[in-house]
Amino acid sequence: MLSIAKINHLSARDHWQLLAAFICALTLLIVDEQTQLMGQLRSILTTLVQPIEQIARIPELIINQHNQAINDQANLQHEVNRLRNQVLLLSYEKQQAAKLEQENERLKMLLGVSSQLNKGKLVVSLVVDHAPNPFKQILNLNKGSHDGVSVGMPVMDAHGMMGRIITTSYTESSLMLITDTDAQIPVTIRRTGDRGILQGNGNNDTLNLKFLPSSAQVRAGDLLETSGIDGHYPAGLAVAQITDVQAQAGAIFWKITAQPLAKLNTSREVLIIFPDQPKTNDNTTLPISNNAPVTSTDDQSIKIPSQEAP
Amino acid sequence: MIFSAKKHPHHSHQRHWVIWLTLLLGLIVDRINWPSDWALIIPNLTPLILFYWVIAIAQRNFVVTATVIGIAHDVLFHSNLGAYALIYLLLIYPLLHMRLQLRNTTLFQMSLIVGFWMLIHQGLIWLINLGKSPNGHELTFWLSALTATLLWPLLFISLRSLRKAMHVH
Repeated sequence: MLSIAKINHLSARDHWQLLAAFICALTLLIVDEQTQLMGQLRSILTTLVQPIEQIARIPELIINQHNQAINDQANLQHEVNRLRNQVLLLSYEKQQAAKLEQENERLKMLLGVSSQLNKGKLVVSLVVDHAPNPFKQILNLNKGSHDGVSVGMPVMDAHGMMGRIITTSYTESSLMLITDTDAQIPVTIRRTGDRGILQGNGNNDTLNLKFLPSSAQVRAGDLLETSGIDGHYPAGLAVAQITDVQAQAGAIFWKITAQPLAKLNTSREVLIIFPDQPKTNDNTTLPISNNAPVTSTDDQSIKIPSQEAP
Repeated sequence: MIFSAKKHPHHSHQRHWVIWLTLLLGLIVDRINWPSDWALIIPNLTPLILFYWVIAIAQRNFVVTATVIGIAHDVLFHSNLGAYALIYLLLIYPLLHMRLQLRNTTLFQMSLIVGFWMLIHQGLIWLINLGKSPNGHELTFWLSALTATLLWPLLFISLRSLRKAMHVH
């Protein structure tokens, strides 16, 4: 029989182990919270736990496949995917055109704006699932470091900016949405050019615009676009629309609420914006010109070549 | 008394891989994106499974297990590395000190203790997220301690059957 002492007694070794593990965990937590040093470690660990994620997705996949079986004509699905990809790219070009038009109207130059995006490439990625963490707003995408995706790359859908990549594994990456409480994007009001910081508040459909002086002219309906001054997000991409403006007594800043333009909860196909030449292993990708038809490698991945700013 | 402290004669095969396997299954179930209606009735299984093994296996201190499972949880759920490892270590500490008392409780009493323990678990998660609101899941977040209480008898009986069948001790 096990003695009571044996069961309840924690030896000195047990205490030392507990203390060591506690210190390790606390150190890890502080370093991860305060620095960017854990990116590589997290990337490796994410790749290691990928099988768990993939098994956990099986029930969802079965449900999705069951739903998809209603429209099981393969050709039809193929065509739908191709058209979706085309819509994405056209929407992107439309946004770019709108930006340039506004620039001309205001006769302003947003420094380095036009060229930044045009130097890059876009990769269409699928949203695999979301992380079931009520404190985070994170989506998992089906492109990883193998496809050239790296931490910090911005992601958008057909309607606007969605967020940026925070973790990559070999085959997948994680996208922190702009609504996450840790997300902050420097933005400008498209109409006036006033600058502020757009901050997530954890809600799916609202954002807070901070640090916009109460002297700035702003009104509900104004569009917010990335200013590009942080170096993370290219300038000129639509992010949100202002829904509410309130003056605060004695405060020097407006209290502004905005709504994301991107369909954060429903978009399945998203565009990962490569800031420069992507380090991709996909040799089958065919470059296309600005006016050439959209080419798709696997119905989900599209890349466009460098374009010169008009 | 719901645990038997009898030592199994074939103790040469401790089969601790069964413990890891159940914890792995717990992680998988926790990682599933359940429909929002179901989320209320499915509490986090991993800490509950860890609770069971800490109480059931007196010869191990589960420090390494709690740390590894905690870090795996952090990676899977995109929390800061070390956050869940810290939470699990904090949670198993009182269990390690009170193993005997807990082993001598009835299933009903233990369910209540598990509910209270899970409430602390949720509180620690809330604290480690610096008091942020679990967006859209406030009720579910705190009620999962209650559902854990209700689920415990079933989980306990299942794990005990598995432990006996696999001679884990």
